[in-house]
Amino acid sequence: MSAEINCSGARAQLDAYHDGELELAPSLALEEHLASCPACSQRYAALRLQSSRIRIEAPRYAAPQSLRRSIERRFSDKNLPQEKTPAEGRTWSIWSLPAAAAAALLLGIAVWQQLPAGDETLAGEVVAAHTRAMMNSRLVEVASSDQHSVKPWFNTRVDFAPPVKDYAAQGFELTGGRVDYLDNRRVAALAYKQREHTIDVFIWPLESARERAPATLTQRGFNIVRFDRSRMAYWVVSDLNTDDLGRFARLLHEQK
Amino acid sequence: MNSPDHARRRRFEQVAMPHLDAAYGLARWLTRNDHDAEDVVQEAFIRALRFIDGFHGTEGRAWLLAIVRNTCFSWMEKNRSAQMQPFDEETMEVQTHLPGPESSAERAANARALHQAIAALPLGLREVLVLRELEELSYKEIARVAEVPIGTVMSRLSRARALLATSTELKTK
Repeated sequence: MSAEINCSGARAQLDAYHDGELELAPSLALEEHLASCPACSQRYAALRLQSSRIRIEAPRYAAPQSLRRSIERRFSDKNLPQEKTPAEGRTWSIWSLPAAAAAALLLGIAVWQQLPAGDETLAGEVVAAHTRAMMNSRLVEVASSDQHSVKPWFNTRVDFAPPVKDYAAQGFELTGGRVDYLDNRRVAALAYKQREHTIDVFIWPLESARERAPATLTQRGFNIVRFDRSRMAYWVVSDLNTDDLGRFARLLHEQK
Repeated sequence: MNSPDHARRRRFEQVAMPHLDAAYGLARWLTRNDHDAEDVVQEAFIRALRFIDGFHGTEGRAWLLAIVRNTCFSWMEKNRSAQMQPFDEETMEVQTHLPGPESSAERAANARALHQAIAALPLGLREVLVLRELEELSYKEIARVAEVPIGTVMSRLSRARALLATSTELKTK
C-alpha cells in the first residue's frame, strides 16, 4: 500500500523518479498517481522526451587530438623511460621526477635522455669500481683530507695531474685518493664524504678537447654525474641523492 | 629502481586518462569555448596529478570532473571579462519547433536549437544538467562535483529542465 499524493507532490518528485533516484515506496505512490492523472502523466512524458533529445542531439565534445597528444606526452607513463630488468645487466632510471628535473635545471645539469653506447658501458664500470672499493675497504690508498698531500701522491702513480680540492666548507669532505682502473686505463679516484655517504670521483685525461656539460643518471641505485672539462673526464658516483650529488658535481665542474 | 613517480603516473594514467573526453566535454560546456576548454583541461590534469595520492575511491570520473569543474570556476574567475560577454541574447532566439515528423534539415536545426538552449542556461543550472544528462552521474556524485547538497542538485536540475523546456518549446502545455 502506498500513500496517495497530489499533483504538486507528484511534480516535485518527477525528476528524481525519472533519474532513478527515488526510493521504492515514493516511486510506487508516484506511479499510482501517474496512472490516474493525465496532466502529470503528460508532464512526465515531456520530461522523458526532453532527456532523450538531450542525450541524442546535444553535442558530445571529444577532446581534440592535439589536446590528447599534448596531455599524453606530458602525463602518460608510456613516455617515461622504461626500466630494464636486472637480468639485462643494468637498470637505468633517468630523472623523470618533475622536482628532480627542476633541480637538474637549476643546477645546470642536463637530464640524460639518450646514452651514447660507450657511456653506458662506462657507467657500469664506474659503479663496479665504486662498489668494489667500498666492499674491500680500499676506498683510499692515501688517507688525507689535505688536498696538498693527496695531490702530490698521484704524481708518481698516474701520468697526469688530477685537480684535488677539499670541499669541507660546502659539506663535502675529502677523505683521500687511490688509483683505480676504468676504460682500460689507470685513473685517479678521489673519495669524499657527505655525512654517511661516500662519493667517488674518477678522473682521467681525454685525447680530445671536447667539453660535455654535467649529465646525470642512476644505475643499480647509485647516482652518477659525468662531465668533461679541461681535457679531463669526470665521473662522480654515490648513493647520495641526486640533488646533493648534483650540487657537488657543480662545485667540481666550476672549480678553477 | 622502481621510482614512486612511475607508480604515481601509472596510477594517474589508469584513473584519469580514460576520462579525458568527459573532462573536455564538461570544460567545453562550462566555458562554451574550445580554446578555453583546452586550457582548463591542461590545468585540471596538472592539478589531478598533484592530488592523485589523495584519491582512494573507485569513481575516477567523478573525481576528475570535480577537479575540472573547480579549475573551470577559478579559470572563469580569473578571466571574468571574457566570460561576461552577453551570450544569452543571441542564443535565446531559439527555434520554436514542436517535435513531429522532421526532415533532416529540421532535425539539424532542432539539435542546434537545443544545443544553444543548453549553452544559454545559467552556469549553476548548466553544470548540473550536463553532469546528469550527458555524464550520467548520480545525484550524489553531482553533489560532490558541484559542491552543493543533494537537495540543491535536485532543485537546480528541475529548474534547468523547466527552463530548457520553455526555451525550446518542448514543454507540453
